[in-house]
Amino acid sequence: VRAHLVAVLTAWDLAVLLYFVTVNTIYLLFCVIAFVRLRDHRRRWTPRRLEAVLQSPATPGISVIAPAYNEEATIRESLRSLLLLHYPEFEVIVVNDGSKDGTLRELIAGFGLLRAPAGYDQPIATKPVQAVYRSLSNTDLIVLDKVNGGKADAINAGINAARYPLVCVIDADSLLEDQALTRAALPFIEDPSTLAAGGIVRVVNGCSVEAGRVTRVGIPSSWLAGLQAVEYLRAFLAGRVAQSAMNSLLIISGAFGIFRRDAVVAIAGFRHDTIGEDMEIVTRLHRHAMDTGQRYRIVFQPDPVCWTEVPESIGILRNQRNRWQRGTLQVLSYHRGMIGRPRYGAVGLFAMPYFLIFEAAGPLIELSGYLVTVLALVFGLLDWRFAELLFLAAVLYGTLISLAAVLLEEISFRRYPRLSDLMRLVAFAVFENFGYRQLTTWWRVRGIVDFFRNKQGWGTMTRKGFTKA
Amino acid sequence: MRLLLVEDDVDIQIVARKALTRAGFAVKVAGNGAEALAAAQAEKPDVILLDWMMPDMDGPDVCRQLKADPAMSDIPVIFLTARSQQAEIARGLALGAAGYIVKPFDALNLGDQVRAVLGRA
Repeated sequence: VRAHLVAVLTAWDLAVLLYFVTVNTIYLLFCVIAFVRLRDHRRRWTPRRLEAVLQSPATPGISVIAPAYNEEATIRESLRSLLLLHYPEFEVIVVNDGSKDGTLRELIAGFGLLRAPAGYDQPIATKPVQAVYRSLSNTDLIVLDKVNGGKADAINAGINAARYPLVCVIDADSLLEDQALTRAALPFIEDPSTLAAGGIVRVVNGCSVEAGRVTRVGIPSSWLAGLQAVEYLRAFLAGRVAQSAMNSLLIISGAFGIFRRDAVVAIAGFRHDTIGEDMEIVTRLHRHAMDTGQRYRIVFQPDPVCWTEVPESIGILRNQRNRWQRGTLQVLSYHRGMIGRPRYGAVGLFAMPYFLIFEAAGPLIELSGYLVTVLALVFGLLDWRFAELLFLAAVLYGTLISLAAVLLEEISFRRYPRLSDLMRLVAFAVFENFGYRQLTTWWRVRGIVDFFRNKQGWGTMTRKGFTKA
Repeated sequence: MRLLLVEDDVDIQIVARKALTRAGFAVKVAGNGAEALAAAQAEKPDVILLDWMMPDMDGPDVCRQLKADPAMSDIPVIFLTARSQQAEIARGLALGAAGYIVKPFDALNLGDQVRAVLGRA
């Protein structure tokens, strides 16, 4: 019996070892692809060319859509900074999604809004829009006041009212760079078959912010936020840049994404019965484009565009990761018909299987590896060398990848100018793999359990929508 | 409900007249600002659907004159505006307009949109 047990445990550990080596090697490849991509990107888009794009009459207008739910404390300042973005032709549509606080009152008072009864075609069905407001002082501002329907429903209402061919969907508390819209519009100007573009989301904790603009970039002082800063760099700079290079980008962050309005309308907008509407819409755009045989692309734009505040409390972070995990599982289950199907190209053959194995099931595999190894060691069923190998593949190889992501940032954008910041970034990159990663693995396992145990929980989750807490 | 449609584009006149008649409105059409003011005075319609951009006298001018005349100032004015001119619409509201409808409109919904803007949906 003991011999059998040892054999099973050894096989199990070997499988987990293989898993870690594979996932980290994929990420290493992502880093290499991203390095080449970022270099090309930097060479092509010099500040002079950017300025030329801004001056060009071909630059498409953009409707910025900011869904707002209970944002009375910050809405005035965020909106003020949005209206000052540097872009030739854009409007801002704030969608008050039935806030229970004074969000609408703040907007009316702060921007001299007039009630503007409006009739316009609403191609996407949404909860009723009760009132449209416009402002005499800011003619490019529209405020929609609608019955609460969740974030996706609010975005859809904004898309209905949008007058420009591109819609930029952001969180009301996203801090945008001055040039965010210019950079995000580039892919659409470069190639008109672009359906959507995601932007990099960076961690604002530790930075100085004045009047809705990041004025000095810094590393968060809190450990939890610092670890997330490295995590975001790895996910965005390495992961999404590489996935975009293979035209198999599956997520455009809800904090900042830009879409062709007609493409989103064609698929009836964002789905409001889902936790991860930002991943779902991108997957569905891929699916629809390939079903209808369009030549298209969905890209990631690596220049800094958007800053977001990440949780510094364990409880909030845990809930966020639990929700993300359930969102991933939900999208994969909605679109399971695409997984492994050659007709869905790189998305069906690579991106979705990757998500299934490494994002959806990954936490279970990782956790089982840790558990099996520890138990086997305790009972003397396994060689110490196995544990060493696992440690090398999981923790040290992982650290190498995190450091590579920091290196990518340093050779491409260098947003952290001070040496002390860089040293702390490196420290966070190391410690991310000692403890933090295992902690998030555990939260994600809990997310998987919750997903399979309580499917009914989604409804309330969506309705609460996008409150940060 | 009697509606005065003020629109210089003949194609839009035809589509809008058909759509509104089918939606139960009694429609009169004026092709420019001067005609519109004369028709408004003579007919005293229940609502005026007024194109924003017209040659000679544009929509805001017509609206200003309507609102200045006590005999007609109570008639609700709804601007018809192209997508690209929406930004200016707050000026129209400040002139006393009841609201606006965005072109191009869906002929099937135009009547409902007029009623919605008037708050009589």
